[in-house]
Amino acid sequence: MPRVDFFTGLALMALAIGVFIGTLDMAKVERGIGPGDYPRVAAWGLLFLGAILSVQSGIKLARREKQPLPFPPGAFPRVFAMVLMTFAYIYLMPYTGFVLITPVYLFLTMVFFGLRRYLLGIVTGMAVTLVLFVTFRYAFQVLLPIMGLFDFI
Amino acid sequence: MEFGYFLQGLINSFAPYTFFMMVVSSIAGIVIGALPGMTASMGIILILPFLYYMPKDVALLMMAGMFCGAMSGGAISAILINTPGTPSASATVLDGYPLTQQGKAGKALGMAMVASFVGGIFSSFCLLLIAPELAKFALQFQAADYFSLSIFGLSIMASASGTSILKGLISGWLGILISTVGIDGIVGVERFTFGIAELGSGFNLLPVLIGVFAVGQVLEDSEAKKGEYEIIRQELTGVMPTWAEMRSVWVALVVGCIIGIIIGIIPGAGGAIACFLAYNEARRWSKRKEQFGKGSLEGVAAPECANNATTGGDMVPMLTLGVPGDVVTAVMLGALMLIGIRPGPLLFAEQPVMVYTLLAGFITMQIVILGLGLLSIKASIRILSIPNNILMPVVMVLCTVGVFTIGNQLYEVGVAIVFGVLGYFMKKFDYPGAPLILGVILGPMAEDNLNRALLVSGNDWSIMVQRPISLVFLILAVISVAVPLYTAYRDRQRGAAEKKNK
Repeated sequence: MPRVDFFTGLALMALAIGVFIGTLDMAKVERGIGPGDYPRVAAWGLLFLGAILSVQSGIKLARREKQPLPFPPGAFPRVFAMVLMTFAYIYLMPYTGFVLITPVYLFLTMVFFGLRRYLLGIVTGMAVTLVLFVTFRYAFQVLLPIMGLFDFI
Repeated sequence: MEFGYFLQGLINSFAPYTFFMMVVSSIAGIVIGALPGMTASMGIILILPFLYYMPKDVALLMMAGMFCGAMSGGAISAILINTPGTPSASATVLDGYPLTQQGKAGKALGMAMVASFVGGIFSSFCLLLIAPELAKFALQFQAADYFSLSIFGLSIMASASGTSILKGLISGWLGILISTVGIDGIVGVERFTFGIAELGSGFNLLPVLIGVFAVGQVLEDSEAKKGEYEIIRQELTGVMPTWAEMRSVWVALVVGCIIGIIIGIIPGAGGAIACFLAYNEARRWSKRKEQFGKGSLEGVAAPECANNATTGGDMVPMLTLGVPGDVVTAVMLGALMLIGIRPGPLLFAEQPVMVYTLLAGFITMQIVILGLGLLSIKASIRILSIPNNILMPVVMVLCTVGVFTIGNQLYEVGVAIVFGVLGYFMKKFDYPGAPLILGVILGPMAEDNLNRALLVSGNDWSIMVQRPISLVFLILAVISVAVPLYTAYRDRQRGAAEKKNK
């Protein structure tokens, strides 16, 4: 993965420079360390390490060394879909409540992961949701998001 | 060791609620350890939301139960499906699976559980004897010593890096940088918050922890549809090792105990290293070397004893100095801080009963895990039948609920997902997650103590080398970076020489 490493190194160096610039206008102190000093040290470290990574992988690139990317075919769309589903789950939770959205999310992700026994997916989804909701609400007094319909619980 | 506190701790560990929760966490640990892809650190992360609402001594024991249970449980899948449940059970595969192929799975699992018990009980006593003494000594530490200690802790990044030291260091420095986000504790200036109010208090440790370790793992598993494991189905009989079998493995057990405890105490090394070292040494000392790799009980006993012996050793630097020994204790350290326990020498001075409850409970737990482990053998095939396509979505929901419970904010869940994506790419491109967590945990400790040391010394940096304790830690830090660098260099030279010879 020399190409990925090369660009990661460059990105880290850019991040380090950004951090360095971001600390320039932070207050300075006479004794001890100021608020900008420690991030600056971290930035120097990242700059140095990023440079090494870029140089190392640059040499490999120049030697035309190749290494396949560590992703199985179709991995990206699947991971992206999983992230998207999870964000949608979080986004919708305040509107639908934990109890309504979680079994749906669980069922969809189980099918997404390859489950073909749909009834098992539905039952497991509902059971897990109920156990978590009841445990947190009654044992730990943590109120998971609920929709008005479930206020009576 | 304070005998009075120990006795009190022992009584506490047998209190019905504490004992019950210890049993529950040990069962959960065994199950999680047995499932490939689920590790002890992930187990600790998953029980975190529950720990918030428990007495601190119970929470401590539950974490330890999860840790030790997972170490023992790892052997189940190693023996039955040729896939180690945890990295620490990697060497158990070598002789465990051949035993299964010979129809002796029950015997192999029984030996693994007994060897785990021997290693665990040995490490429990070592923990009990070493930790309090080290904590007493550590009470002399001042700001400069703490700064150097945190530098030493951060230097462990190099040895906890896995395949690439450079990538481990990058991950660690990134962690330090992440720890600087939010209002600084010195002047009160906002750092890298970009006007986002929620970032004012910085990144909460829990979403970072859950994101990098648990969500990252789920995302990796979502890359492809998963099937069920292939298990050789056979009668699991003759589980308990006979006296003659125990006598035949005693050398392997002694080797496992010694190697495990030493490797455990050394920061950066863990069960995965100990199991292979113990396996090799047991083979060297064995009278039946030729049986290794073909289904030797010694080959199961040595690594299982060693990986369990690391548990107590790992806890020594974590509890007494606040510096984690390996990935699991790094996660545990973060978890302890989240539930309001700050490991370090002061913990022993201020809350001795709680600490001794853990130390005494650690011994009790080994007996509990032995019993549960032996009982779980019959159910082990059922454990491995839990399909991944049900498990991973449930893990994701547990992560969501876990993060939500911090402050009833869905914002934190979003942060966990973002760090999950980061963790996924880190995994794919060989950047270890443990150094990042070390950076997030130890970064503020280093900054705070550096500031204090410089205030006391009037900006005189030489205070770091004038104090002997600080100097020792700085030397250790240099060694802990230099040794893996040298080893990597030597291995590369050797590899190049072998290539030339071919």
